[in-house]
Amino acid sequence: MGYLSHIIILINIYVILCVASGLIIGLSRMISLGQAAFYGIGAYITALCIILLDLSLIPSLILVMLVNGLISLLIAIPTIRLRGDYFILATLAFQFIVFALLNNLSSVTNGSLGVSGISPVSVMGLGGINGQSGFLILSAVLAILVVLIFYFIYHSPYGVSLKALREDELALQTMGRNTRRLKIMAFVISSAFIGWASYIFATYMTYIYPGGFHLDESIFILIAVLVGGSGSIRGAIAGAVFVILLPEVLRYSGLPDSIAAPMEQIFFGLLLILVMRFRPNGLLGKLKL
Amino acid sequence: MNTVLEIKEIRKSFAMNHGRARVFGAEYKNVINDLSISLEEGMVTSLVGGNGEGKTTLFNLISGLLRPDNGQILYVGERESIDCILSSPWQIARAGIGRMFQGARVFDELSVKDHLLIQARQSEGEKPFSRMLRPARSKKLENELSERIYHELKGFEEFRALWDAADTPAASLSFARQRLLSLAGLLVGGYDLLLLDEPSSGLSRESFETLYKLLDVMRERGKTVFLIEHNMEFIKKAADTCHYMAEGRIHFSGSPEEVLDHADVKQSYLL
Amino acid sequence: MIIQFLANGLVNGALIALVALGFSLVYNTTRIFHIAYAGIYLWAAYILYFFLEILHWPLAASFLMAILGSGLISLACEKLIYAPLSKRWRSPNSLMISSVGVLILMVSLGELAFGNAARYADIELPGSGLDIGLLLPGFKVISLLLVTVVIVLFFLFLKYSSLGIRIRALRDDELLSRVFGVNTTLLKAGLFVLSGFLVAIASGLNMLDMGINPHLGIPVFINAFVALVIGGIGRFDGPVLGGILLGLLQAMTEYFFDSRWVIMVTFILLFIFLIIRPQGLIPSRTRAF
Repeated sequence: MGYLSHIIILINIYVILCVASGLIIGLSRMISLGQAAFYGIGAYITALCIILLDLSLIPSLILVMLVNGLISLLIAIPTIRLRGDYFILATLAFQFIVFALLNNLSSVTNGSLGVSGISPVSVMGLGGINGQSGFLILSAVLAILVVLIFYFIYHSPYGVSLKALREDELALQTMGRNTRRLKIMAFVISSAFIGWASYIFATYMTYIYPGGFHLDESIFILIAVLVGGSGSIRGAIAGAVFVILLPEVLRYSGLPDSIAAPMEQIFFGLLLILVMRFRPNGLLGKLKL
Repeated sequence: MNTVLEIKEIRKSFAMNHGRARVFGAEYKNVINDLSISLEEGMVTSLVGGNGEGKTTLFNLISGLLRPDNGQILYVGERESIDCILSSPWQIARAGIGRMFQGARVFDELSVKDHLLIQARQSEGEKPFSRMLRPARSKKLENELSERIYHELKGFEEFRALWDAADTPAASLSFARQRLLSLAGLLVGGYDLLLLDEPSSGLSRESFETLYKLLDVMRERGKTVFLIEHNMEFIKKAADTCHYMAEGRIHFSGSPEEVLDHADVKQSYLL
Repeated sequence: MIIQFLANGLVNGALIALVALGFSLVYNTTRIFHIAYAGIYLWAAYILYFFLEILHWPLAASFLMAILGSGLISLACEKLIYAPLSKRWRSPNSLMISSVGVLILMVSLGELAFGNAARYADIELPGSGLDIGLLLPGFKVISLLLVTVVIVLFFLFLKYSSLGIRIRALRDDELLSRVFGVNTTLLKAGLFVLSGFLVAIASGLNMLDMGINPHLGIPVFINAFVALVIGGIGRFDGPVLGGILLGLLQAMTEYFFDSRWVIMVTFILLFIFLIIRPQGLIPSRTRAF
């Protein structure tokens, strides 16, 4: 039971990450290599909320959303107008800058040693959340909420405009849409909800460190979104399940860790290449929720 | 007669490879050469000329997709007046200028209904959380929009047929129907000035009727239309005035018959 | 004291310049964001290590094998990955993501083959007996000289040889080059091979001096790309200038602050340039419509 619920908690976390990231990577086709930076910022803000500010669940979630949202707004405003590869570079730059800050500002973040003791999670009126079953419920509730929220976003007039934007931004502009604003909004919403995943991760693991939020993680999230399917919620969920379960399958095959880790990467690398070549709309392709 | 669009002495040149150590040398092509033109309200004005003479570039300049090197483009619309050179494409569209492109420029994955809703909606109520937080209101808005669209389109048999197939993704439509979709979109979009780039191309003879009717409706409502066209019969029937463009500027203007019977124009169409 | 840092910075800058130059060979002409280049850098070093330390071949021969091997791998990238995608009109994003996949593949294969720890060259480096009161160890001086010679030869080749003219033609206008009878398919393949040669020289020199580990590729690539952005995209002298400037700047950062902050400064610089002066210090042409 312990192992299974651990996997499910991880899947829930990544469902949130992928569904949220899917709004920019999938729907508006802005490839970002900086998702893990927001994941990390959210985690450290969570640590702040719990250790220093002693906030309960809901205020913490709100604060994390606000901080992530604000930072992404500041980043998006100058970078959103950059074209294709330059935008990706800017997100890459952001990723590395955030990592360097988290890693080097030891007085604030404790540097590469990380922060531990991110606990307890208290819900107003309901006591504390502890133990695996507690986190199982918390992660499931938040994941379901995120799926619902993003479902409504995808199917709102705004979501339809984003889909149109992905197809032909210029044409959409000639229909009176401020596409820059649409893209910035997507960015902000996406990073705000990534904060929820950060919260669960930080409080469940109770220990975070900068290395877990670096480029590898960004690429991992990107893979999950792409493999699952660009621009659909079902795809994002499928992608999350896929990338979490795969390493576990490899583990059961009995390979030693030193082989399993690169094997997993090799598989992901091959997956990216093959998906881009044969199914550029993701394994689940165009199926929409 | 009011002037709706005033274009004064605009110039646009494209640099083809300038810089040091180039293999292909430096070359400037003057695509638009001191062009001036004004559009009168309520009229269908056509623009003719050989291929590659800058007509679509002119449209791109008006729509704000390109910027001229000199000159002025002023729009005096019903809702607002703007300087097209200083405005972004979306601002120009919101001021009332609608654009139809050459070829089939539709959103492949969006349905017919989505296309028309986007045009009809004019970006009101486009907040990400509106459907979630106020489902009843957003449903009501959408129904109102659908009503309005139906009302607009019902006089046109072909547009009605499109609306009946509202859930079809645009990619599955034939080229001709995609063109019709663009036109229908411009109709429900409530624009005051339409820029149509070769609207008759790709349409069947029967669809020409729809196009004529659309232009009539625009005239009735006092809206203005600016057309790029190659089909002479179409121009003679549909347009009120005509301008002949070559070498990046207007050579002469007049009624469609006058212009199209001119020796130079006939010459350029023989190419 | 500061001169020491600057001299070191110059050597590093020259190496960065060479890598950036090789990358620009591909990027300027085909606009392919060949991030797998970082993997080729890695494997050039691994091939050198293999022939030198495992097969015990002489230095020159091993170096030659590294150069040839890199050319071969680059060619494989072009033929197996990029060409099939370009032919099917895939977006530049897809190409870049495939490139990321190839990179992941190469890094993990490297990890599998050579392990996670750093590998060093155990031989006596040329120039080691040459420390006649120079600012730098003899080998670094030789590296600098070698890189300078290669770069100068490259520019002579670019300007005066017929192949060089064809490369510049391709960079200016692919369609027009084809009209003029340039076999662009063959030329592109040649460019990839050539870029492999250049990166192998830089990588090999670095490997002899500092060793190689699986995580070295990406930071090197990032430096190269920052050099490209700073110096100017679309020209071949841009990356060289950018590389040297970056090397010096990084040395200054190390001198005045700490080596930990180097990567952050690099990225902030990238960010600033992307936003304020994306065309780089030496601007290139303005694009036609």
